[in-house]
Amino acid sequence: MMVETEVKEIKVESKEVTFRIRRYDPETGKRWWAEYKVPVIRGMTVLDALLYIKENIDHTLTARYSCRMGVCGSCGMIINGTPMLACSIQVLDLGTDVVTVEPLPNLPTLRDLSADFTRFFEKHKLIKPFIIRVNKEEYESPQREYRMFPEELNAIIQFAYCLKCGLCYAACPTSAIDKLYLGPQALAQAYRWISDVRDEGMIERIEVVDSAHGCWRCHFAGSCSAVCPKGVDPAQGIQLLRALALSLRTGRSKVKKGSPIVQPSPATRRPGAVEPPKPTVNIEVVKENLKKLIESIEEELPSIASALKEYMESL
Amino acid sequence: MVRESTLSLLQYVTAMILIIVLTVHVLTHIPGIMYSSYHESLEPNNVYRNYRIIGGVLAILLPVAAIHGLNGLRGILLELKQGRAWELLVNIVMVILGVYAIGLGMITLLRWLGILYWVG
Repeated sequence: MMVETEVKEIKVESKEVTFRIRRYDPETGKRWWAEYKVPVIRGMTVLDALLYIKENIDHTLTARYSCRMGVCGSCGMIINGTPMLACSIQVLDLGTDVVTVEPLPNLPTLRDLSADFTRFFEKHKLIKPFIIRVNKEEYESPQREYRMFPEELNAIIQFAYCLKCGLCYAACPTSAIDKLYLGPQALAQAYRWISDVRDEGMIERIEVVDSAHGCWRCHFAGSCSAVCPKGVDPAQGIQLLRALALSLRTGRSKVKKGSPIVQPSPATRRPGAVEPPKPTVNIEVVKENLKKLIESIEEELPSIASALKEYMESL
Repeated sequence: MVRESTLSLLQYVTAMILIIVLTVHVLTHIPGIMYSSYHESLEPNNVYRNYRIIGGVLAILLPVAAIHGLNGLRGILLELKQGRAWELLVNIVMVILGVYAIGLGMITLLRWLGILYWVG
């Protein structure tokens, strides 16, 4: 019996938006503005529009992206003059008929909208973004995890949300003129790792950030915090880092000792707590059933029967 | 080599001292407080007179303003251009300028104070 269903045609209203994209060809060194008309529908992100252009209008357009959901931090670019993640902003929310898209500044451009993050990650590496422990032996072959209470995690969690998308670095006026400046991302991460209760690398990191192009070059413009897609406040991190450096240098704070390794607590039950249920599978019963099964299939399926026999012996 | 945190601490401390000593210094030039006009406050005799009246404040103001100003200028110059040679050059020039400005100013101030005290 055939069932006929009426499929209603869904009309999607679209609005034509002009995309002005800053193009760059590294082979010729040429930079130019290219314009594309895109039929934008509700919910369409800037990244969707860029992919539409790439698929339907100009296949040579280059942009970096990955997750499309504001998690990986790959699609950072300047949209209408502000650093944003292209996947996290809807075109119609911008409220303009012309949308300008440019690659992230303060970083070399590879091609079109793709920026070269080598310098950015080199600076990130400088601040040693990992737990440093004095006891190397314990660190190299850990037996258990280091202790960290939830409130201790809460103290640094906002800095741990950093995607390394480079938007703060692109928005930073100091990074624009001082190429050696560590930048808001690396400095905020330095604070994040120094403040981690498990870490003992304060001295090593302060040596890096307390330099001519470190935390003291920040002008506290605050644009890094304004553009962060994850609500991280790098400007605050830098100020806290300054306070840490000053208190360390003036002897008001001592180098902290990292939290200890968590020791397993002996299994104890609260008085009056209900006994856990006994195991429901009786191994003897399983073995008995397996034996019967093997006997029944031994002649027809000898290979399976021998495999089952092996398994039964291992129980 | 002086650490950046030490220089920044110096910058903050000098800024706080400047608020006080610079206020006193500016007050001597505001018309109606010590002199009837700004031009009058800059006349040589009045400038020398100020040395006697607020000589101590000026002796603090001079090095503090020089350190604060030159340290700030150093920061600007280090941001404008980068490189080890440039950094070294800026540091040396700032030290020379600081020593020169403070030295020259102090000699002038102390000479006048000294002459006046000895004579007086």
